[in-house]
Amino acid sequence: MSTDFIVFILSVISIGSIAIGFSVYARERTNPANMFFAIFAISAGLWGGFGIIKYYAYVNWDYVPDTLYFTKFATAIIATAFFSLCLFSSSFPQGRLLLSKKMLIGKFILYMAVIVAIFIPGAVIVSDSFIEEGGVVAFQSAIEWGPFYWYLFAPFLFTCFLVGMGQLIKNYREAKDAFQKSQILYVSLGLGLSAGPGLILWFFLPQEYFWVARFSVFIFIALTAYAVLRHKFFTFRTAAAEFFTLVIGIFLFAQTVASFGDWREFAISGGLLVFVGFFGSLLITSVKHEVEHRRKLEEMTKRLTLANEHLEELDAIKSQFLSFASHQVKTPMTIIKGYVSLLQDDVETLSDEEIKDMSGKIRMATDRTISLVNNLLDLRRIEEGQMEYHMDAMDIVPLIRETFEDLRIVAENKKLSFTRELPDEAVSAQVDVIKIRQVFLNLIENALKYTNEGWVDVRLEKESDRTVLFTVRDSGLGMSDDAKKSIFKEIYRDSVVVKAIKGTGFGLYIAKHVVDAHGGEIWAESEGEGKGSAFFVRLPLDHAESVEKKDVVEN
Amino acid sequence: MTEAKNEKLKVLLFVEDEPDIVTLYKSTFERSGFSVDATDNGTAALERIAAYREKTGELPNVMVFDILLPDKISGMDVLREVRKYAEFDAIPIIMFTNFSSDEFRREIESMKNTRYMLKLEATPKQLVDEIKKMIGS
Repeated sequence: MSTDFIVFILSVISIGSIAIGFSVYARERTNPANMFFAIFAISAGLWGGFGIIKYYAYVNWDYVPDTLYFTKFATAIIATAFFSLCLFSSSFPQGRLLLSKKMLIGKFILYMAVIVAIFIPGAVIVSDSFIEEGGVVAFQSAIEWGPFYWYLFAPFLFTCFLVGMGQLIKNYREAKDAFQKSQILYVSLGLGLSAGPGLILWFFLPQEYFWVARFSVFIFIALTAYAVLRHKFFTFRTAAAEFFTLVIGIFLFAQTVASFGDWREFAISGGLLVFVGFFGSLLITSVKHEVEHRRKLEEMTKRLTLANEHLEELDAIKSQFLSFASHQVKTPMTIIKGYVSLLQDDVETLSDEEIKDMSGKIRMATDRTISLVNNLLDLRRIEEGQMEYHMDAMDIVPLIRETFEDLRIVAENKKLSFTRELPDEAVSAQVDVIKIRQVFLNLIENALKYTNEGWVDVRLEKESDRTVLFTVRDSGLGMSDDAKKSIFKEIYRDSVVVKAIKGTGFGLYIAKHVVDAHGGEIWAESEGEGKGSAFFVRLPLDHAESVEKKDVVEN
Repeated sequence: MTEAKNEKLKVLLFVEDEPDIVTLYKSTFERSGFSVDATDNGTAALERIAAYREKTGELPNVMVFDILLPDKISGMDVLREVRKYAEFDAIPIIMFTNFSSDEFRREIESMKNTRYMLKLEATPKQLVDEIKKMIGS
C-alpha cells in the first residue's frame, strides 16, 4: 500500500472523526454521553491529525519538527481518548454517569498520573522519538518508550477499555426497551470488534503498522455515532446528509491539497470542491427543511388527537349531564303529577285538611323543580367557566330572613321545629345576591329534606370585624366522614351513570363554587350517620374602603 | 276507600328512597287497602327477602321496587335475587322507576309475574290498578 494512499485515507478518517464528534455533540449538548463521545472522537481525530501534519511538514518542506514533543502530545491525546471512552460507555444511552464514585476518582487519578508522566522531563513514558531517514515508516516517527509505558500507560488504556466494556454489558442488561438494547449492542460491537483489537495491535505489532489501530478506532467511532444518532430517526437523516457531504468534501479537499503544483488538476479538484460545497449545503438545508416539516406535522397530529380526545370527553360529559339533569327533574315532576291526579280523582272524598296538605306538597315540589333548574343551569355555567358574578355591598340579614320565611311551610308540613337567630344590626358583605341566596336556600332546604323529625336551626353571627358565619344545624340523617369530604364535589361525572344520577348533592358543589368566588369558606360537620349535621358558610365582611361595585367574571 | 273490610290487609313491600315519593305512594297504597312495608335501600330490601326465606318475615302479596337506590345495591339486584327462588314466583313485582332503560325493560319483562313502569307515565291510581290486576283482586 502506498504511503500516499494511507496518508490520504488517514486524513479523511481524522477529519471525519472530528466532524462526527462535533456533530454528535451538537445533537444533544446536555447529554453527558454525547459530550464524552465527542471528546473521544475529536481526540482520536487529533491523534491521526498530528501524525499527518508531521508527515507533511517532513515530506514537503523538509522540516524536521520536534518529534519528541509531538509524540508526547499525541500520547497524551490517546490517554484522553480512552478516558473519555470509559466515561462514555458508562453513561450511554441513559445520559447519566453510572460509574461508581470510587471507580471514577480512581480512573481520574490514574489519568492525571499518565498525563504528568508523559510531560515531565525524563524518559518516563516516551523516551525518545525520531524520524528515521528514508525509513519505512514514512509519516510516523519511530518511538522509543520509557519504562512507565508498560507499567502505567498500557494498563491505563486496557483498564479504560475493560471498564467501558463491562459498563456497557451492565447497561445492556438493565436497558428498559429493545431499542436501547440495540443501541448498546452497536456500541459494544464497535468497541469489542475494533477498539479492542486495535489496542492489542497497537501494543503488539511492529511500529510500521501503527496506522491499523487508527482504522480500527474509526470503525468504532462510525458505529457509535450511528447508534447515538439513530435514536432520533429524523435527525439521523440530517446527520447522514451532513456526514456524506462532509466526507466527499474532505476527499476533494485532500485531493486539492495533494494536487498543489499541478494547476490543472488543482483547478478541477478545487472547482469540484466548491460545487460539492454549494450543492451539499443545499441538500442539507432541504433535508433539514423536510425533517422540520415532518416534525411539525407529527406535532400537529398529536395536538389534534389530543383536542379530539378532549372533545369526545366533553361530549360524554354533556350526555351524562343531560341524562342526569332529566332524571333530576323527573322526581319532583312525579310528585306533582301524583298529587294533582289524586286531587282530580278523589276530590269529593278528600277532607279540607288533606287537600291543603296535598297543595302544600305540590307547591314544595314546584319550588324544588325551580331551584333544581336554576342549579342545573349554574352547574352548566361552572362547567363552561362562564359563571358570572355581580358583586354588590349589601346587608345579608334580610336576605337570610326572607329565605327562612319562604321555607317555613316546608318545616310545618314535616312538623319540624324550625328556628332562627339573626343579628339585629346590619351585616354588610360583598355578594352576588341571587347566587348567595341560592346557597342559603340550598343549605336550609337540604337540612329540611334530610330531617324527618326534630329540628332545624339557622343562625348568622359576626365572628370578628372581618368575617361572618352562617350556620344551619339539624337533627336529621347526619353523614359519615367519607361523605363529609365528598359532598362538595360534583357528582354527575362518575363513570357509572346509574350511580351518578343518584347523587343529589350537586347543590353543594355549586354552593362551594359560589362561596369560593365570594372569598369565603364552606364546610360540613356531623357526629356520624343518624346524628344530625351542621353546615357552615364563612363570608368576609364588607369594608368601607372596598364598597365600590365590582363585577367578577370567571374563567 | 277501604275495600278489604272482611279479609286481612294485603301486604306490599315498597322499596323507594325518595322521601316525598314514599309519602305520596305509601298513603295511596294504604288508602287502597294495603299494609305497606317501606324501606329506602337495597341492603334492607335484601334482608327482608332473606327473612321471608327463613319464614321469619311475613310474606308480602306484592312488591314495588325503585331501581336507583342510594347504596351499591340497586332495585335490579334485589329483583334478580327474588326471582332466583321459585317460592316467590307467585308474588307479583312492579319495577316502578324513572330510570328509563330498554335493557332493563327487556330483562324485567322476560321474568315471570314482573312489570316495568315509569313513574312519570303513571298516576297513583294507575299503579294501584295494575297491582290489583296482578294479584287478581
